[in-house]
Amino acid sequence: MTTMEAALAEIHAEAFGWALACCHRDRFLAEEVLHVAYVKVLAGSARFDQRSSFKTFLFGVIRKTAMEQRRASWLSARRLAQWFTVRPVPEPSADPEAVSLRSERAGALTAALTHLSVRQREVMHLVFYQDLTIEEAAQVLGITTGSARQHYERGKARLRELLPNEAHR
Amino acid sequence: MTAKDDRDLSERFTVLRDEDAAGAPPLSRVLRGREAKPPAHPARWIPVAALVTAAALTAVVLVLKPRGAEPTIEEAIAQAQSISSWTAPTDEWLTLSGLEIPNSVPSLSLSSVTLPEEQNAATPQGEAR
Repeated sequence: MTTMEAALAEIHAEAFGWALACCHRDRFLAEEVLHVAYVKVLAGSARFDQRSSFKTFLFGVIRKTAMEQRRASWLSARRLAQWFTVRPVPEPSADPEAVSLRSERAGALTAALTHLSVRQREVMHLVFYQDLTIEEAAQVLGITTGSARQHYERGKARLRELLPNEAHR
Repeated sequence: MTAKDDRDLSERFTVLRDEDAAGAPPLSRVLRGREAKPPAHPARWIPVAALVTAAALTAVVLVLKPRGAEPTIEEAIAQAQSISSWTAPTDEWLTLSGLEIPNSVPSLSLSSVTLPEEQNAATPQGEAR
């Protein structure tokens, strides 16, 4: 295993979580995006220049790859096929194993997150799920820290409206 | 927003993270990539084939469609005349009141102003002061 592969292995689970967030929690697409992102990193087409942490760099690559995949699949045969076939939404809750694992609280959170804007959702995920600072989240998203802070505050306020506050019970 | 709120959110995200981590595919499978994909189903290409066939049929129908008989010369002339004499129903909106004034330029043949030279010529020498 190379040094880069070892670095990927170290944060693989977190990277998968971020890929899920970038792919609207479509597990199949997230795995595909993660594969392409890893290939980019290992092949050197996405080069880590050590200006930020490796995690921040990898998350940026995953996010960009997810955007590229969405654009590429817009008029692909797979997309056209979706118009003609009715298939279940690729939500993890459709997976029986995942359903058994998913707690009520996490399910409510996932549902509430869909009501946030994309930016707010991304910032909330990076800060609360990935334990990044707002500055690091801004680096991943390619936005200013001030903008990220604004998305963070608004996203948090919106989540508080949507979620029953168990902390106050 | 209180610290309790933040803690509640953090706990919820932690539960979600743990569940995602438990269901994450192994790194080796993600690195292999293509093998993880489900095999392409032939039915996936049916809609594409249907669209291409429909487009081809439309093109054939348009090419082979019989066109109407050519008009005679008289009919063509009448048609051209009707086109040339056509005016838009909104043309009258473009006429402004008072436009007739600049269109009717006054005649400059006679002037009501008597120039000084003409006045001198008309006055006899003896009468000049």
